[in-house]
Amino acid sequence: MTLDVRIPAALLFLLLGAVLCGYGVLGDPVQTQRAGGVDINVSWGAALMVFGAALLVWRRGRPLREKQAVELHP
Amino acid sequence: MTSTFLALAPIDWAIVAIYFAFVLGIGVYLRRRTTTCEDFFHAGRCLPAWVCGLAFLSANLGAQEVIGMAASGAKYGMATAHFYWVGAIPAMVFLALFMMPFYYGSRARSVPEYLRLRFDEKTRAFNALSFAAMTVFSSGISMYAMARLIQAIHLLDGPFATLGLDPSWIFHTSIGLSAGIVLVYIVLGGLTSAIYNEVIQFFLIVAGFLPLVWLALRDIGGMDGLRNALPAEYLHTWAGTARPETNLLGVEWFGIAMGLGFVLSFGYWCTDFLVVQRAMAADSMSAARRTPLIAAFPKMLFPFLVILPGVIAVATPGMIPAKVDPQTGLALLDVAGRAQLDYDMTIPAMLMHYFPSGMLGLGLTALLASFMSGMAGNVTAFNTVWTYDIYQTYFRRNASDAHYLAVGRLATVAGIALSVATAYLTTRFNNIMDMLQLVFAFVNAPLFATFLLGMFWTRSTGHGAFAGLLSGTMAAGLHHGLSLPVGAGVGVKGGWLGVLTIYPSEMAQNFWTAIYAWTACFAITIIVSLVTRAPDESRLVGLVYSLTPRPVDDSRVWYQRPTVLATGVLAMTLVLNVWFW
Repeated sequence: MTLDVRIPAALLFLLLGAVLCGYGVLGDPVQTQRAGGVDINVSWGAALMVFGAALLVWRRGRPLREKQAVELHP
Repeated sequence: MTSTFLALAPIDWAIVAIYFAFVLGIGVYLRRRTTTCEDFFHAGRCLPAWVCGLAFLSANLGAQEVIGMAASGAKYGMATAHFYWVGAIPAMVFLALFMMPFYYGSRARSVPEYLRLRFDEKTRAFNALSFAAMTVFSSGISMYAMARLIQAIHLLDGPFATLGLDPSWIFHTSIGLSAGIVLVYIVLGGLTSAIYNEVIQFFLIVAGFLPLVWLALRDIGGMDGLRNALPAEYLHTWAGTARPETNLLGVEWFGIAMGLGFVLSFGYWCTDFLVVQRAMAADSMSAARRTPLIAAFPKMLFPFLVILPGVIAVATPGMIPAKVDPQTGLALLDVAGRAQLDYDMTIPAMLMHYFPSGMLGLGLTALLASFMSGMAGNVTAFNTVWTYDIYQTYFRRNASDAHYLAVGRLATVAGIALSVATAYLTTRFNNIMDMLQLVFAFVNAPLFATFLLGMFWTRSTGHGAFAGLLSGTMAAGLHHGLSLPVGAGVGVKGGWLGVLTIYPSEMAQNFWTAIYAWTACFAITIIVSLVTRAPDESRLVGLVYSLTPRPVDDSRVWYQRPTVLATGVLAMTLVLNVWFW
């Protein structure tokens, strides 16, 4: 069985999302001025976490077919 | 040099570091699973279509994509989208429906190997050698462009000052780091590693640029605000293309449709092993055919991600920095006395303007990812063509699988070393690079004629194909040598044989060079084929359309059928063309 790319991708986006969200909540509020008053770190960080979680749900629902890996190393 | 400073906070560096840790981690993880040539060069031919499709898209994102498309968007407006809606989508659909059955079905291991099976050794050698040289050259250019960008946005100035290092080493450090990272993850995990990273790079590019477009568009008042802020021609693609003088590109509709839409685009998407290799890694014929179609959906939306920011930037006064004379520090002016804009700085300037620390790190990561995916794509295509089409053919024919695997890994190291050499050569001799790029354009322009005749005309022969390729390349050179874009000097821009025609723009000249090359190759291949001995038809089964059983569609559900996807792709592309008429 080979590595499913959805796992590292999900982990990366969960981590990046959490870092952005955490920084947005704890960080300097002056920073949001640059994005025209939108708290982009928090909102986009949350969006990335949702995306990461969605990848994991997708993988659970439709795992890589075992056949694909077996066919290759008979 | 400009004075755009991308000032990063520790949080931004942390985000860049997290990304690089994942890139290297994937390579290390896949190391244990990469034990045969099939794993290393073909990713085991076991990947689902959507993985191959996203990798197909990312591998094509070279140095020019994000930075260059935003710059073109600022210069030429939405007409730049022709490079997507005309110059990519139709060719991707053609590749999926008509050409993948031969690439995947013939079990050729590379595009040059298909030419060997269909025609003969000399045709393969011509394609393999020019392709290998071109991949090394392109990845070198990517590397160079990335290092120059890092210098120009003063990315490493802060860390270098803190560490007390000599700032003149920033360029070398950038080259070394990008080469080192790509080297590690490809040597370890081969094509699987490259493809997995390309998928993640695709997600990152969307994650980094989508909020940028959203914030910028919101700032200017949506599409209506943008329309009000710009002359009308910036938001049109076809209007004004009746004559070259009445549109920003300086090309008429026929040049766009034939030169870009047919010759250049089909020549690239349907014959370039860099992209075809991704589809060949798919787990079945129907997955291989779906690969370019799945890539086509995001591809047709990319103009909104990479071109629209440029258009918005040019509508926002002061957004694009002016070019500055490095000696005097004053802004450079054009003949009309206006400041010359440094269009390549569009994206860095927008990132700096709209993103706070945190998001800035994500945006920068997306930018770096786009450079690395282009570099890695070229390197994996190079190591495969080198190992199978050059080494196995001319150096050592019947060695063990383990031997060729080792050769592939060594070829990766050599390919990256040659790319680094190219990057440094570019800093020394800019003209030589322009000339090389030109030669590659000459070699590539006629290629699609050869494949078209090879796949659909049983009578075409090896001698015909080879003669056609040579004469197509010569026709391209001849046309370039006899024409010149308006306002350019004789030399690398053309006219070195005497000036017969003046084109309204360099783009028009390029498109017409391609049209002449293709026509010459098409005609000469037919003529020479007819006077040489016909190929043995029994040898061509699986290689030519009329002698190959139609591929059986093993898609599990209706929406996975290539014809259904292709219809959807073409319909959506048509809608986009009409929307931005």
